[in-house]
Amino acid sequence: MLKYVLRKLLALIPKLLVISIVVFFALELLPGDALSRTIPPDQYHELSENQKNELRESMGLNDPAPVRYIRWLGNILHGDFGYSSSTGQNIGKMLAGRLPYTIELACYGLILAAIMGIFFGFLAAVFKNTIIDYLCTAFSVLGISLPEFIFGISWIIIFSLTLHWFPSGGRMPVGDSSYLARIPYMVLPVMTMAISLTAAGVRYTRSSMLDVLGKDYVKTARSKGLSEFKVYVKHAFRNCLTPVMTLLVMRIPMLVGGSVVIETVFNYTGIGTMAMTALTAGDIPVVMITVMASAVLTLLASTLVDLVTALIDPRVRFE
Amino acid sequence: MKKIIALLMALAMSLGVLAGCANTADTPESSATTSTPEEQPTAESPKVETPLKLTWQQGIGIDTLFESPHKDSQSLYPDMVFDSMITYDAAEDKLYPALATEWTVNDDYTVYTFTLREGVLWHDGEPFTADDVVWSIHDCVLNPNNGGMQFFQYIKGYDAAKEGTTDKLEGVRAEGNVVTIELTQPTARFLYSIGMTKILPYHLLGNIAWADVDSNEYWTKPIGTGAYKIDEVKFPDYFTCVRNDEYWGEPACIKNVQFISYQTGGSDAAVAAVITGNVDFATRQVVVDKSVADNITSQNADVKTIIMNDFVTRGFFFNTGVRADGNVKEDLKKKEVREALALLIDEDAIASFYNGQATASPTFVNPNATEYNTDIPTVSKDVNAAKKLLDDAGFDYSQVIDIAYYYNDQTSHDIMQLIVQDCAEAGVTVNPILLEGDLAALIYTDCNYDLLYAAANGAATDQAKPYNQFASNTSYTFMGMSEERGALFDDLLNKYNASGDSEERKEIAWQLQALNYEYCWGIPAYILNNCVCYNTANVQVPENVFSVGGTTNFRWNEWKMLK
Repeated sequence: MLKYVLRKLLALIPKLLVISIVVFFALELLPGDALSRTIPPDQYHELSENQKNELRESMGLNDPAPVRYIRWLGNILHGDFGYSSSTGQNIGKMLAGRLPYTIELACYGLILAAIMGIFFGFLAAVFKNTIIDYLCTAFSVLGISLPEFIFGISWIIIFSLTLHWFPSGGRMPVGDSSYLARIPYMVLPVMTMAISLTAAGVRYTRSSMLDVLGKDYVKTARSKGLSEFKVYVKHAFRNCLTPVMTLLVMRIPMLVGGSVVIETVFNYTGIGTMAMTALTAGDIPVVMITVMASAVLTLLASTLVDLVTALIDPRVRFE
Repeated sequence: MKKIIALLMALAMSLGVLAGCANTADTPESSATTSTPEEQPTAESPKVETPLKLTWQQGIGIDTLFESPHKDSQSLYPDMVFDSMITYDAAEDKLYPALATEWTVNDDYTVYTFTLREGVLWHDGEPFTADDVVWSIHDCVLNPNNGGMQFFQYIKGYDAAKEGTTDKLEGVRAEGNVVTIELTQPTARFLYSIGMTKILPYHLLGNIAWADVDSNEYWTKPIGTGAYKIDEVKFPDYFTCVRNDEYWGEPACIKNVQFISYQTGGSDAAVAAVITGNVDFATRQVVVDKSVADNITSQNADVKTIIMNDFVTRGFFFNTGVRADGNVKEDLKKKEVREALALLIDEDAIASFYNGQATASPTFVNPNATEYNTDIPTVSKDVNAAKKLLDDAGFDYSQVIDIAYYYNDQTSHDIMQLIVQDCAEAGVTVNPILLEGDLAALIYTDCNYDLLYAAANGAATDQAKPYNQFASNTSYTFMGMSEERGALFDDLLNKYNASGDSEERKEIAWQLQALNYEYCWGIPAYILNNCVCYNTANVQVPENVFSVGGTTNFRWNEWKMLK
């Protein structure tokens, strides 16, 4: 297993290099004066040529693209993510203030979705064509078909404005950034984030479980006289998890990158809105780093899927 | 199964690690004067004064640095932490002494002399000096990250400093506690620009290259001379301020202030926070949509909305000068054609898209402003009159009029569609073009449009400023026909900018508005007013402070917490 893990991790390096080249040259080589993309047009128009050159020089925009790429990559490897071209802020610090909170939110959402999705999917399959199955199916249809913000706004109206159980937004109370103090601020966003993923999990688990229940080895288990509980839990459940885990883990980058709606509804400052703001402001250094971060997360998630699959199904790592 | 449970456990543990990685280590310890929203005084604990809770939002984002007060127009922090030499009260249209105790202006409004207040201390205890003032004025001009203050281009030595031949503005001098500023041309309104210029500490920023000033470590927790000091900063969530008990002026009434970030949630989240009491006052551009605020205030008696008169006019500017594609429309050089298009564009209907927040205006001055020319009639849509004008002018109906715009929001798209329909009624084909990408090049260099839908910046202190766009030396070079426009506008604009007599300025402003009404170089559409929203049960705000935008006199000594 260790060899398998190492092989998978080593394979990440060339993939990351290719991604970095694509990201850099796709964004850095946009047509037009790079400086004019980084400051407002009125301000750009007011600058003297001397000031424009000074700004280009200070931003390193006068060097050839390959030189800028090597410098950029080298800086990233040294932990220097550079500075935002539109605000002058340190991108590393920007990420440090946002990424952990976004990942935290995404992980809690994922765990909640995994537990609920697998549990209700399992129930729906075991009690197929009963009221439990219909309820679970109806829930999953709702969860998949309604957009996240509908749930988010509903939770705010119910739990915040009406019941006053949780704050309507933000990440922490003023003056207390401890983990415990932040928990009430995470509840509603996590619930919202988990909804659609739970719904998908229910459907996947149900169909996967039903598929497994029709397999020969399940029939063999039953013919051996095992109890239905043992057949479901020990033989069927474990084998139905491979596609479900793949679905869940592959959603990690989507949870991180696609959290803009949740962040906006709950005023939860995270990486999604940072990427969106940078895109609209033409802040290429920030866009490049956030795209890279998202790509790295996707690759790591993909590797994690391989490892989880190998853990659940030993045939994979022996292949 | 065990492995899966172990895997989930490992995931949960890694979450713990992640939570530990969250940026809490570098947070300074909470001040004793800071309280959480839930904190209540008890018999055992000392009484904690209720903090004023405000929204925090900056144009540049709030991740690692504060925005320079020269640029931050979205939060109240610059006016709490920093002072200007003089304070401008927009509601009263008066100037008050601040860091300068007195000022004099020579007869032709070219030399301004300020006597600085003595005994003023920066928040770090260093004394305030004339060097701070001189450096701050240089920062406005030489720092390439600053847009520049209006009229500072008239400071003697401005061009040489901008071109880089010198790093000193010849016209700015200090002697003891007296600062003298010399201008190259008469500009009475220069005082108001000085009123907007916050003074920054030379002793902390003076040795930094201009291009790097705004990204300096200083901006992680800036200090000023103002009524409040920044206390605790937790990027990007909140920061707190405490009253500056060594303030040179009357001390603020409220002791603690909390600025809570609504950068991510925006307008709706901020207004919701005002209702729930998480925020007492949502300032300036945080509440951009009056209809949202109105919906909420109608259901919450404690929440009040104030519309703040603004001076940024949106309108249309004709391009008769240059298009990179060579497709300049000769017809637009005819006054009648321009007038006809003005008759087809329905300003009232456009303003109505903003649900009462926008005011339709037949001139580029806010109809609520003192310099607004009430004699200018409202231009109502009149298809027949427009068609007659076009026919008389021999307008070529086969041509397509390109209208460029750069506001990429649904309301702006809808406005463009309305214009397309309105013009089609007279047989004029209009093609809206959304400018995206390198806006500076598209607007100022390529100019591939016949009309530009854009904002023209006025100010409470300079209400007819948008008419500077019609001068012969306008930055809108695409307007063309500069000789014709110059003959009409240049003298008047020079007089307007030089005059220190408000009656005279008003008279000139009226003439400027009448001139554009007659020659139609630009079509004014509407003024998009700002609004602020606050919880009247929690905080008492001084009267008229927010009636007009652009004020720097916030009277912190009159703000009171009611709970």
